[in-house]
Amino acid sequence: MVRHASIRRLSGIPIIDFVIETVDLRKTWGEQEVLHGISLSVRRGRLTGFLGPNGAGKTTTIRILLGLVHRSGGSIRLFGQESGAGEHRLRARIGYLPADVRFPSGLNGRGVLRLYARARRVVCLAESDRLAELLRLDLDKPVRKYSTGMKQKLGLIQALMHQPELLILDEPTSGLDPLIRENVFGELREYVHADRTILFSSHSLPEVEHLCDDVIVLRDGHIIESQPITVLRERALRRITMDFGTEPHVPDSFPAAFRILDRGAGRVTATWSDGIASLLEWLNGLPLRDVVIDKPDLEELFLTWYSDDDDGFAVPPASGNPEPA
Amino acid sequence: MNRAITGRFLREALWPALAACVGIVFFVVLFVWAMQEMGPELMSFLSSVGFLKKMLELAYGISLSGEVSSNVLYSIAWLHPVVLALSWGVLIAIATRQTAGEIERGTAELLLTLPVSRLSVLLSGAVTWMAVAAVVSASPLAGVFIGSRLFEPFDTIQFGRFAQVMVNFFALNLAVAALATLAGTCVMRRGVAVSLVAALLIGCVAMNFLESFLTFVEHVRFLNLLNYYRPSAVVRDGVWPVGHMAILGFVSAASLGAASIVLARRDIPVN
Repeated sequence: MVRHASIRRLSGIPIIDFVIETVDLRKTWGEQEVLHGISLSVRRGRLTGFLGPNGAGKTTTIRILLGLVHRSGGSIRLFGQESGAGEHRLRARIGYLPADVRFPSGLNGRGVLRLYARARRVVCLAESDRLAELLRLDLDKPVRKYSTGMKQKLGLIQALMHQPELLILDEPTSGLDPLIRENVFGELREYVHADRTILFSSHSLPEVEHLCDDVIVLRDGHIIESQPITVLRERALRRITMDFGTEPHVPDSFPAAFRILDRGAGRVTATWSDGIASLLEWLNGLPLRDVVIDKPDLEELFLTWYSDDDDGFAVPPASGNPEPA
Repeated sequence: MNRAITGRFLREALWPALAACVGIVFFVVLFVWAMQEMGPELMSFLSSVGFLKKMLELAYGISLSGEVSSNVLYSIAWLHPVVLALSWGVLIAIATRQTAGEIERGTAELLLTLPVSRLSVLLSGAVTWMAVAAVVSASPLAGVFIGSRLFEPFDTIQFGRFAQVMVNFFALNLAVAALATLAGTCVMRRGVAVSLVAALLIGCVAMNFLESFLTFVEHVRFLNLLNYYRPSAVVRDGVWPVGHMAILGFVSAASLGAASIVLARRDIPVN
């Protein structure tokens, strides 16, 4: 019996804490298992980044959530409801942008949006016009003449225009110029402020770090991290470049919190995984000519997650995935 | 069924269907003219060549021994390979486009994540190919009508009997489109689905003509879709082919049912 803990009841009214919950989700293609028992939770009103390299299983997970692909095992709850035969009704509450969005031929942008709005049985022309203006997209142009970036914008509009409770975006900013990307980020933040939920799948850590509240990290079909971004920032590594002038001045040994990345000609570049006070204390006793301490970011942590040697982490057992704090 | 999706499928099917209908009407008018000009001579020549006579009699269900009426001559057009190729070509193209074609073009991704069940999408497609099948099936009748007005026939054209043939042709076309839908739901690539159905139909046509030479074909003729479509016999006898249409209807319903099961259970791959 699979146990979900997503629904609390307040005076008989269900309050859904988690919009998406999966327990021990598995997918097998032929003989190969690509999702090894994923248990994830996406909290309502949060922007959750879904990170992982190519082939990690992000898109497969998303496609299972949307009913495009059938799961081989485990269970899914969307909006607190067991996802099964009636899942197409739940999709009325979801907006989706695929990684490689394609539209029916022979229509202009407005025609495409009208088609999807009518298929959803919603009226959202004013919202789609507003979004088109925000993203600077000409809706009267035939879709076949759209560039990749324009198709991406149209995909974003069709995902957002009916103001769904849950938005699932698979690589939404690929092909967008930086200015439009900022507009999209602003729109997504507004969206989350309205107590809606976003699952934002991306390869790009800086993007997720910049935008998201929570992060779920996938590798080889396992969840290796699932935390609020603030928690991860506390664990983020600092990159330090120390210039000792000449090689003899370089210490023979370093504290355990150091992980040396590069060394030579009296310079040492390393990461520091402990607190700043202990770092400064240690540096104080060294014959340094110069030192540069970078602002902590998640890049190093990310590289640790994805490095081929498993120094930085161990893939957890399938049933023991961490949950957001 | 979803009206917006049906509307989209109908819009996409409009031009190919129109082109096929115009082609069929044009061909049948030409055929009527040709039969008017040289039909009796051609029939007497064909009936003098033993194997050709037998082959045509079996394929078309007509007797070439006696005098052949204009009605029977015109009915041959309904089973002519050009008419079959145009009708089936457009139906297969449309039916496979709505399943394998959507997956291949990558548009299935958004289509199947709408709040619409896969069965509704399939039914929207079915409504489209049913409409196209109706128009395509009526095209030979339009051709016979125009042809008989342009070129004076030997005797009165019995349009009531041609209407019976039209309904039988409609049932045949529905079966073909439903089989194409089933093929489209089973495979990833539209080309594969088209090839599968084309191979099946070419087999049916070949079986129809080879029956006179290969005795074993007679034992499996019940598998041949064209066994349930005999326009010349219907025109000659004026009897509704109810049994044949019921079998073709069963093939359509079974294929569509199987397609809905396959589509509901299958994964939609990333294109």
